[in-house]
Amino acid sequence: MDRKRFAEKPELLAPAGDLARAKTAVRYGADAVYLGGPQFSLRSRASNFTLEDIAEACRFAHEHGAHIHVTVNMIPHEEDYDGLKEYLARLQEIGVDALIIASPAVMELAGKYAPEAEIHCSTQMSVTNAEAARFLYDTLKIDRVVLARECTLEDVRRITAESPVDTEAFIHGGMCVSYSGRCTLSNRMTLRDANRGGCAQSCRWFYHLYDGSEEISTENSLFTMGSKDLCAVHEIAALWEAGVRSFKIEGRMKTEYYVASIVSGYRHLLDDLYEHNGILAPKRLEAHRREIMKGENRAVWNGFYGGVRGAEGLISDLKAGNDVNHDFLGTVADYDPVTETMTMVTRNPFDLGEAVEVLSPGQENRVFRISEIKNENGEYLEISRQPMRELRLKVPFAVQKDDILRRSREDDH
Amino acid sequence: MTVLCSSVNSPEEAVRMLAAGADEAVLAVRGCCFSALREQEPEQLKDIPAFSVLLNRLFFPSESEKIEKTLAALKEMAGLRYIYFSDPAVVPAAAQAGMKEKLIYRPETLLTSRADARWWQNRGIHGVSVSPLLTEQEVRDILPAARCELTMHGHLMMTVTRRPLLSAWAAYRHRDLDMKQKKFLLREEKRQEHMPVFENDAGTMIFTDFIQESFGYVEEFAGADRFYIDGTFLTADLLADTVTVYRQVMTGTAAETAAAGYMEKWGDMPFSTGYYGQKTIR
Repeated sequence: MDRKRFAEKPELLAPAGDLARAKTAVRYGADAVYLGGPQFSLRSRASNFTLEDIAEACRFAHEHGAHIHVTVNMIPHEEDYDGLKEYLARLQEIGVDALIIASPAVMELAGKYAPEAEIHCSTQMSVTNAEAARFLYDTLKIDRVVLARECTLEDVRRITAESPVDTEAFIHGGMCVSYSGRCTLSNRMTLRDANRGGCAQSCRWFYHLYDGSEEISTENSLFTMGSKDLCAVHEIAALWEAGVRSFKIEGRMKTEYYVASIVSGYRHLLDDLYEHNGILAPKRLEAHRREIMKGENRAVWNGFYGGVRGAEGLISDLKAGNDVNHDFLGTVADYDPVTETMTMVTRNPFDLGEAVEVLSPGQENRVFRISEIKNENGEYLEISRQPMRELRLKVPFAVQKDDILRRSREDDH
Repeated sequence: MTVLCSSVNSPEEAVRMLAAGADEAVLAVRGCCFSALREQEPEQLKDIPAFSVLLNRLFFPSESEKIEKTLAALKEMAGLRYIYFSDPAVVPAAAQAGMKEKLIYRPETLLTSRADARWWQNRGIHGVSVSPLLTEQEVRDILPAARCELTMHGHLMMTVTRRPLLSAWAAYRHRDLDMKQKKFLLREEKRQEHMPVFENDAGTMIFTDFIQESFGYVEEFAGADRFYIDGTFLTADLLADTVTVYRQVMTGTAAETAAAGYMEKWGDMPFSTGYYGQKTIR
């Protein structure tokens, strides 16, 4: 292990589907947040940022020492260029730090109309070798390349070592089953263009499989190709040592709770690795993994970092492995230090006596047991079953507005 | 004059398609292609009078030397016309080999605008292969921007993954599948159409259930540099008839007239005008 590598922390890059999630990501420790506007981004349904929102996200992020990357990563058709130059210029004025782009022509425009913003080559371009990165650097002066998720750990090592620009690698979240940008299943099945933000995730549907004219699947063994999500906790140190500049979490369509949980989990992991020169005992690493997985409700694998594999990375039984998670209990709305009582806004059901974990930005998670619940009329309750209700709970330590409350599992502590 | 080319599954098919009216046959080089059922060693191509090759895989670091080796093996072949690629790493390698002007950028889905077509053309390559996801109007718009190839006919590649999906299904279900058969089909649970799927050392490829058919667009798309027929899942007889009809239409026969006999013979095939007549949405 090259301990010198761990003298500098890589960037933790988090997703945000709206302004609230962008701020949450920054508060919980993201070094940078990526987000998109509704018009030029690949996840059109997760890109709700107006220019005013992006400006506010930049202001908030910069105030906290973080960066904002904006996705302009659709594969553009002719009509998609309308207003693009003005949009790029405006993003620069706003102070966006980097643009994530998948089209050479759009990269050229970005170089002209937003020259102060870095250009990051999107994973949609599926860069899988250093020569491709060098070609894009030589011709378009890109600043960073987001590697294809199909790269193995050894691929990442070699590309990062030989690339003339920084590399960014995914560490967590959803994975396309196919090479990003090269799948038109959604186009065919629903006429929704995957490369322009309309992916219907047809890879997660069921298919009958035939060998010639004979069906070889049965109703109980239909063909599926939905990918498990990525969780690279065990590969983080190796990716860091390889020199990867940025660790990216996927999930612009995920909830605020997910963003807080996953970002917080990886923040703690990276800080721990930093303090210990990249070496953590297996038990400690496993504790980090458990912590991160509390925010995850889909089956995970370690992606192609563990090699090219089949069944291991697929949700072969789509009806299993994707439990709905009811652990998010609510958020803190207010705290009164005199009465040691917080006002919370509820989400999922909980009972008196349950253990609750508090996620506060920049702090270790803390646990308390619910000893008292009161409703808005001051009446004592034994259970909470209604979402979006304001309740008052006794809490034995100070909490802050927007802290996240989640169910604590006894075996975690 | 627009070039008519057809991908084929063997050197024998190449000779037949050239006789049927194709200007070039397109073949896959072993270990370098995503999209072809059958791959050839470079030396198997040397006697074909006019051919192009598919070097359209994304190459990982351990495979990079395949690019140089393949280019070196092809360089002196008299019949070589063009080299299809999708990995940008092929450009500097081809430049090094003095073959850059033979390159055609064919990324399947990524070439959808005039500006991108021009950008690639300006890299000093021969031309670009336009995404078949464009509508008729979008094709008309993009044609003047660069030397453009249009995919006119055949099953379209719909998705490509590095994962061995068929093997994964078989392993999970404890079944044996003979991957060499390459006759596998998928049918979405709620639909009737069958989509060809195959697996090789690069991963798994799934193609459209429909066969793109564009006889009626030949005249309208006359400004194209090349017309591409994907013969991957077409029988040699069907492919030869297809090539002949396109040649007839390209030399002045009305599409309806030229295709009448063809449609009578092959009309039960799942032909469609694909996305030329059907716009996708976001």
